[in-house]
Amino acid sequence: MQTAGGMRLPMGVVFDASFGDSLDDLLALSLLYLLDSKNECRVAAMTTTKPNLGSAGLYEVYQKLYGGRPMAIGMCTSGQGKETGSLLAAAVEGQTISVKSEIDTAEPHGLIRNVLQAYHDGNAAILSTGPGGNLKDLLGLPTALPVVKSKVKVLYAADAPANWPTPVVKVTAEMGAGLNYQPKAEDFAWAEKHPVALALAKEPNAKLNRAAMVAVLKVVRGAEFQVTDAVLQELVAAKPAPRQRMRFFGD
Amino acid sequence: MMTRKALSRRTMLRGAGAAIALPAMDAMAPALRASQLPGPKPVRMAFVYVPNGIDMRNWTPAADGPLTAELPRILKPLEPFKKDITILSNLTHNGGRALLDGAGDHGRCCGGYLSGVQPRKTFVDIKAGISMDQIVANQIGSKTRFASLELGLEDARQAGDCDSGYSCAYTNNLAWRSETQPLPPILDPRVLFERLFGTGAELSPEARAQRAKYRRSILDFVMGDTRKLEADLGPTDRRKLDEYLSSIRSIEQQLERAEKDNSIINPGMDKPYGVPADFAEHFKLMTNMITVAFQADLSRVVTFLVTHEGTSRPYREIGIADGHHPLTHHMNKPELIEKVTQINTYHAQQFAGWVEKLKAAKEGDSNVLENSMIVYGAGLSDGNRHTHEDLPTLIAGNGGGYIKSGRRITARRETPMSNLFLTMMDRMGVQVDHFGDATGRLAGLDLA
Repeated sequence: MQTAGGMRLPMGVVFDASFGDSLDDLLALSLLYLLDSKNECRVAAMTTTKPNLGSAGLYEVYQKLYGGRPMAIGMCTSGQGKETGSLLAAAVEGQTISVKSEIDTAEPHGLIRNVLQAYHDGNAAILSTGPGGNLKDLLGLPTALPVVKSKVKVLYAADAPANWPTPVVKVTAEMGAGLNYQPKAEDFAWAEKHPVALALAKEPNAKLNRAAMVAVLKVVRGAEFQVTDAVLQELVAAKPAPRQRMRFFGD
Repeated sequence: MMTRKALSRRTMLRGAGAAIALPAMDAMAPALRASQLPGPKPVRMAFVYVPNGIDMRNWTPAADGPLTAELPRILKPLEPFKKDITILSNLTHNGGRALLDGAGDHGRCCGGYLSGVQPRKTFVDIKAGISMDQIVANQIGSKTRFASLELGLEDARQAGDCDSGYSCAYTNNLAWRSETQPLPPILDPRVLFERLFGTGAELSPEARAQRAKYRRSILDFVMGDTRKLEADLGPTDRRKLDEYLSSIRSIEQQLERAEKDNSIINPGMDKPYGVPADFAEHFKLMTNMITVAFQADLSRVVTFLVTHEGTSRPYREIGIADGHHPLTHHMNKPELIEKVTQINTYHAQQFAGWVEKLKAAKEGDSNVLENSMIVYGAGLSDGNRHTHEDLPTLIAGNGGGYIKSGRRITARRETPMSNLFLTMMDRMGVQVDHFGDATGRLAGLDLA
């Protein structure tokens, strides 16, 4: 996936969430994919801790919407969060989704290990906004620990495993404190059925703490990057740049 | 009621420079339980690897579950054995992918096929992983005369750069005894024959020619033992022994014919003595011998690299003069895809012939196929794009009543091929906690 030609290669970011349960996650992934389209990072993998096909399908919607590289989507098949909440139901309403059953998804822990192997040492990060189950499973794989140790520069997580072997930044609601960015459905009108627009239409007063968006920018642009409302306003709802991505072996 | 002393499972027919193991016979069981074989039947395992991927559009059945509909074109030759096969979808070898190593998919996909690791990119200090067949062979190999057998049909070098910096050791071997030691396949049917049934010595062509001058059937050398044994056998066993020895004689005759054919067709070429010019004949000869080896429990572990990964072998036998590998980079031209499909189907035809033989080889109330797991597949799926997910994989046989066959099972995406190997090792009686990049056992394969 990456060449070693001396140029600065985009960092791979694994996005893990109980996807579809919060508007924050939808906005954060919009932002992450926008940065991917600008070659600031690569969405390396998307995994959900939510055992719900709609949740996995929503990831697929994003991948197609933002012109991302087709990829398997990781979905946990047990645990809590099976139900389809109103936000998720709204976001997938009328979308074309090929994820129809479990076999259309991948085991999250194996998938994360596999994609990390395609990145240079220290050139990958994981952002996990939901329960830490997928990360714990990852560390439980016999071959994963050395891969995580060498590849993952930083883990931003709401629920990091205690034995995580690389630097961890806790994702808390306080990360978004002081920010007031308020997304509007019309900002996403560049897409016919943007999940955020659909979700906002259904749930205009959905709770928002902005921490996941801040975490995305910190992961991609560095911990020192100052996240402001203006930055979020400029980037979160922006239409992705036309793909002129670097060609990597295996792409 | 008359009782008869049970015949040892290890009985051999011996003669000058020859020893022939016997198939399982009723006489090997106590006389009062004549239809039962002693102990559990041995489970055999084989891997038949075809190179350059397979045209998946003509391989994958439309639906999951029981194989009720007609099989896709490439698998059509296996239609009569639909109930005996299990088609597996979505198995992946992540180690075959570039990851950070650039070009060289052919080297990686074959070099790590049975180990689930990514081979080191080099053509000097090679390193892959111990292959699962060798893990099994190490554990159960002492129960048979040959811990494992490695076969192939195409002569191939073992050193040098065969794919973008990957050693030929990766593209030309399936079995790896250690991380650094591949086990090159036997290509010459006569060498295999002599290894299985002869003295074990691999004679030089000159020495063999000298011996051939006075050649008699190997069965002639063990005639005395055969007669003595026949006198002690019941009518069923006598018939079984006769069929078994006839199949050995038939292989000998095929070998003689092949060698004769060679000398007529290609007298001036530097070709290994005894290798048939005809691909199908070569395939049949090798697999016939493995059938006999399985029947006689000479080995339970076989790897068969049909042709080496990345091969550019043409298939003039079926009217295809273009090389296999260049054809697979077909640029979506229908006429080239058609030729790839024909090659894929031709391979499957040969495999179906072997499946038929295994099924016909009776073993107590079952047959050798039922007691085997014969994996047929490739290390690439789409040979044009070099993809390493959804690898074409099928298992013929039931692994001794373990695999519920006649189905297509689709695993979750990205499921490691190593998960299948872990499951197969379990079935072979070899307990391994972890293997390759496995994330667990393959669910849904068994009769549960």
